[in-house]
Amino acid sequence: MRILVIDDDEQMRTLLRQVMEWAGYEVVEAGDGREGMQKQRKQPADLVITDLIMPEQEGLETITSLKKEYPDIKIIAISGGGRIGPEAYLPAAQELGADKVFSKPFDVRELAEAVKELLSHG
Amino acid sequence: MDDIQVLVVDNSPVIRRILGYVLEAEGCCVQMAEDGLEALDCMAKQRPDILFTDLIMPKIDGEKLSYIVRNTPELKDIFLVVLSGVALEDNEITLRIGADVCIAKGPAGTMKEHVKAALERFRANQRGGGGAIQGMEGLYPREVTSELLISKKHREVILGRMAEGVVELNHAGRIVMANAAAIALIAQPEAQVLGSSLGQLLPPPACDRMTTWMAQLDDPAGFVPLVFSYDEPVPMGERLVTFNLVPVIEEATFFIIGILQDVSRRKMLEQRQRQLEKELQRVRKLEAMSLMASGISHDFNNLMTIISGNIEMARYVSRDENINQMLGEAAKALNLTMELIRQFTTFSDNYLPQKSQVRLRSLIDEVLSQGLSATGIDYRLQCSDDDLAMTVDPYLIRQVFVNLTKNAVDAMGKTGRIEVSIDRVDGDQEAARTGQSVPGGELVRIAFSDSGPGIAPTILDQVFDPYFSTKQKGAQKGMGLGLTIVHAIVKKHGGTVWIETSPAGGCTVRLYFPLQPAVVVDPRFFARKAMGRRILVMDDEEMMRLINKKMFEHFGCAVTLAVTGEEAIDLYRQHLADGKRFDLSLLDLRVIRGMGGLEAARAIVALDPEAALVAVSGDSGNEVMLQYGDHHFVAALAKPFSIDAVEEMVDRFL
Repeated sequence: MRILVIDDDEQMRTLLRQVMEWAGYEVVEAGDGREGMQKQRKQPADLVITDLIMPEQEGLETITSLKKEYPDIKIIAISGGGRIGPEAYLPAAQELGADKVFSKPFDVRELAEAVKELLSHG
Repeated sequence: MDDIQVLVVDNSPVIRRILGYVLEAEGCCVQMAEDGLEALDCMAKQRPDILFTDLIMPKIDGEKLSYIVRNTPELKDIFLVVLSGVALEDNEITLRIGADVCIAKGPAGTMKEHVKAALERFRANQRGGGGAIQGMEGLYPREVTSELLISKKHREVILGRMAEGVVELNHAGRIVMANAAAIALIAQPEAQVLGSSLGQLLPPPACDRMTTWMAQLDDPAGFVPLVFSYDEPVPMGERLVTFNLVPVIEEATFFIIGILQDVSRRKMLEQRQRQLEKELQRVRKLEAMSLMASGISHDFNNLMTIISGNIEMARYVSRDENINQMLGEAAKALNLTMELIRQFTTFSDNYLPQKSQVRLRSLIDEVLSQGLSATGIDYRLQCSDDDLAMTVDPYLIRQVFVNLTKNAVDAMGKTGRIEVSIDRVDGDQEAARTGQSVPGGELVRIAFSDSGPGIAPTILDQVFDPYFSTKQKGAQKGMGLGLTIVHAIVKKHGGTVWIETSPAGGCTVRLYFPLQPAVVVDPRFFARKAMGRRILVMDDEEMMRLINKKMFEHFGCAVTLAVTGEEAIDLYRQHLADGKRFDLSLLDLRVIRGMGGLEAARAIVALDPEAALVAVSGDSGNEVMLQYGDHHFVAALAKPFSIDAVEEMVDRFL
């Protein structure tokens, strides 16, 4: 099982990679939505964990593109807020097709649980 | 009728002696008094059948004495004979006072005859003969007397018209003169006020101070005024009164002049001013916090996630007991930090309340049963309507009751009781009933009471201030933000909250929320600058529509969405016809399957030349975007745009 992690924060990517690798998944990292789409086309992942606010391509846009090209892909959206607050983005992410949403700060164990559940039901 | 009781009141010993001879010779039992006050004391002991009184006397004069006699039920039937030394100079006062006989003071022989005649009239029960003054013959007006009377009259007018109360007390502290303002402050009939002790009319602490002060006046060295100043006024009924009592030496004795001032109104205005200032200060503090919260929450959330994630990972990887224990402690502290930051972001005015219908009864019930499960505290929840629901942010409202429950538990300790009642009320009625600034319209009223020790009245105003806590501070004990958060959340919902405490203990938090979602939110707490403005957003990308909607709604706008130019034109036409013209329309220039923004703009301007249209495009180098003014647009927005750009639009056009 492969997981694509999209986040502009390198430390966050490292953390997510470590958590997912320890949970036994292969991890591909991308620094923004555009890079994420490129990597996905080369090495399709089963699940994508994406931040919502990034400089190059916004997370919501990425979610829309991913769902269009890979209808079966599982998506977890993470939001740290920004000026209108995390709660404003998360429902939008869900409406666009995110299977699960997390608001920073979150518990990595819960994230790992969610990944496991989404992939086992897939 | 040998035992006719007669009281003779005159400050002249000569007159007293003359009257004494005559009346005793006639078989009367005669009492003497030197002035009105002494006369009142005599009458209190033994009610006379006839009262002979002089007019001009120190202390209580004849006019006042007659007034008291005529206005006191036990005394009003006394046969009243006035002996006027000023009959010629001022027969008006002589006649005004309702005497049964008036006798002008004159030669002793003439007076004797008139006194006897008065006695005859009494025996014959001929009352009301005071309309004519006996013994005026052979008298000549005296200039000095006239001047004195004029001066007295002037003084009376001045005293009567003064806003300050003026009283004169005798050496024993009894009131012998009180002007109209003083009578009004004492709030008792004049006939009762005169002669009574001022101390007795004051509430206990002031009375005690006055007694102590009066005692030291026996010694001339103790002749200092007694002042109840503006800072320690005396409560008289519903008013607050300052007193300035000045002892004045007079021959062998002394009297006291008192100046009374009603300061209730000034005090009330000052208190209101203080309340306003406090509220303003609180608002400023909250504004500063809100600004900081918005600034840091994003960065903090990111950092917290990384810290906590790495700690969790380290715990997972490590097999060392000691290290795991230390990491466990770090994780615990981190959880508290995260909770604190999460609470903090509540202050952020960019925090967007997620409003939904919430059933209050079940929400509060749940919070209480969870919060009290590990305690010996029981609770009672009373709700006039179990289905009562209001449109609020459920997370925030839960936080209100979690914080209130936590405070109540901390205040009560192991055992106690929480009572909560929920009612639907009318805001205007509640405002009138409580005197608080309760919003109008239909409200939900929640009273949250505990049986703890209550709050000291001195700190009641401060409990909503940030970082004010009665508890020991520290992350584990609470940061003093609980009630501040409650206050901020209630304000965010357009409600009001205050705390009452009773000396018997326990305190009640009173919360009011509009039953309908608040239309007008306090602008000091909220960036809802464009409340109620109508916005049309046309974009063929669903995501953009959603984001735009959220962002404009954040500023209070009502947002209508369109996917294509055709749809936008139709919506614009409809709204215009309904008199609900859009205040601002965002038109995406590039629409894949349908009419684009430029074409739509032309059509909309044809419908409404005043339309405010904004060109939106991902291509900021586009000719229309650069020269938007030439194409019916008032502004151009390059995608993706931030909420700051939206805020700028709001500021410029709404």
